[in-house]
Amino acid sequence: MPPIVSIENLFLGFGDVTLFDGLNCDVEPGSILAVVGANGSGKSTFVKTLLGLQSPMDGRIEWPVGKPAEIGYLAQLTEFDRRFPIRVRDLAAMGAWQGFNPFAGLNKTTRNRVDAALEMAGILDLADHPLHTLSGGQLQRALFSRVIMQDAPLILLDEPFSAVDQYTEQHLLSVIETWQSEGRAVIMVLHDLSAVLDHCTHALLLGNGRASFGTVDDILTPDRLIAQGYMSSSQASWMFRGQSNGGMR
Amino acid sequence: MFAEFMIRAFLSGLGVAILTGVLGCFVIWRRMVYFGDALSHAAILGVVGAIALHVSAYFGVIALALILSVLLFTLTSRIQGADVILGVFAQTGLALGLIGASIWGRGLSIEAILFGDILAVGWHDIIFIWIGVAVILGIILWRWSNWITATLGDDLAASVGVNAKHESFYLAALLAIVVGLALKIVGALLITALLIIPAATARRFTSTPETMAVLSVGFGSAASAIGLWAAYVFDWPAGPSMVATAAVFFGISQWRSAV
Repeated sequence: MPPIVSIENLFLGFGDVTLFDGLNCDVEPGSILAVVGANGSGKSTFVKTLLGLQSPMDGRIEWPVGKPAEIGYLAQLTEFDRRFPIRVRDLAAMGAWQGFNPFAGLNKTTRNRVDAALEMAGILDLADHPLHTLSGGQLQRALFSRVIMQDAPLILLDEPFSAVDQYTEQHLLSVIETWQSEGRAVIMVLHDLSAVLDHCTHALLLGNGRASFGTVDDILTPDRLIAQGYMSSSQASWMFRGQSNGGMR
Repeated sequence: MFAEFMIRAFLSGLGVAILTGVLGCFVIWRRMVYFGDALSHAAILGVVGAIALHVSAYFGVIALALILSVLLFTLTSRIQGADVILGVFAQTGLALGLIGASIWGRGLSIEAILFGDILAVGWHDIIFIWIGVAVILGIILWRWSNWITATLGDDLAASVGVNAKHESFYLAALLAIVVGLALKIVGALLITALLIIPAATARRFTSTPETMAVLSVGFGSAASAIGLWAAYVFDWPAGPSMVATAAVFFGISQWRSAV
């Protein structure tokens, strides 16, 4: 099966500053790619480039089966203004962009899809609540329901678990695994390495001007994490302390 | 019951309340209050320019506001410290407008430009405003979903194929036209008040963007009508009375939500 997106010799940066260079990677259907790196290494810039909001300094982004009309996207929670007057149900419905008319209301099929998406995200009981009444975890679930409604082959998640509790994180990870089983590709920016090791198939490690792509086992090694400035040697030795007994998994 | 000039004032006030009510929601959601302020202050220069060039004041104000919105939009999206750029434009526009008025605007009422003169509107003004209402409402309905998506975030808009920068520019251009249409009614210093106060009042009572827009129009229309009535009965200035009435609604809404 051809990759959804194929990246060749990608250079990203601003002005004279190169964040990383020479990235080559293919993102296959059914894969979960974790984008990991220190602050300022280019993780969010990479996501914005895939969305088309930023141009690469060099290199190519190819879409072998055509660029999807929509890319599922979840922004960082801190970027969302929760005072915007919208109910959970309406936020989810905005994911069904092509058939959504806020003045005409939703047809029965879309209403059913919205309910199913809210149920999958575990927030159906809050469907008629305005966003400003939600907790951080509930808001993240509501935003996930919008991504579910997008029904996109490629899904980008920018720090999806940064402001949620462990229970919510586990639930949202199960949603991501459902997407994987449906053959969608998921690219997510993460800081929590345990989530990466347990749930992702591939990793893209950014830092110190380099980009390393491969399977999680090949990329997230102590040597690479230290060399690319993601953690210190003492942190790495603590993190991988059980590796001789079978590693973190 | 009322003199004809009051009926004209009411109709023009209603038209402006509809436009500012809906667009004011976007001004609040997208934090464009200072943008509207900069446009309205600088619009004085448009009035003076229109007098100097012997063209309609509406044309002068709308043309200048459109040019400024392009300039402001380009500069504020590229330069850090957008509030500084907007502040410079607002105050410079006001200063140049007043200088221009002293050169070309003999007999021009500065007070009318700053605070409006709704009681002086003619039927041709009303026709012009209501044609504006019809056209602008049509554009707003057409772009509504795109603008709501762009308001939620540039990245989110890009993910569904909406160019947030383009949509923001269309919105800024429409705001410029509304400033031009409303200048004669409430004046350069009070247009921003009609853009933000009814919408901010409506936000207290709504859970969807559509109901906020409808309620904002309702509060703006009521403030316009009651303000005009108060101006008629108590011999107060009309534009400030409308704004003061809107502020009373806002105060009540804050009190209601606090108890």
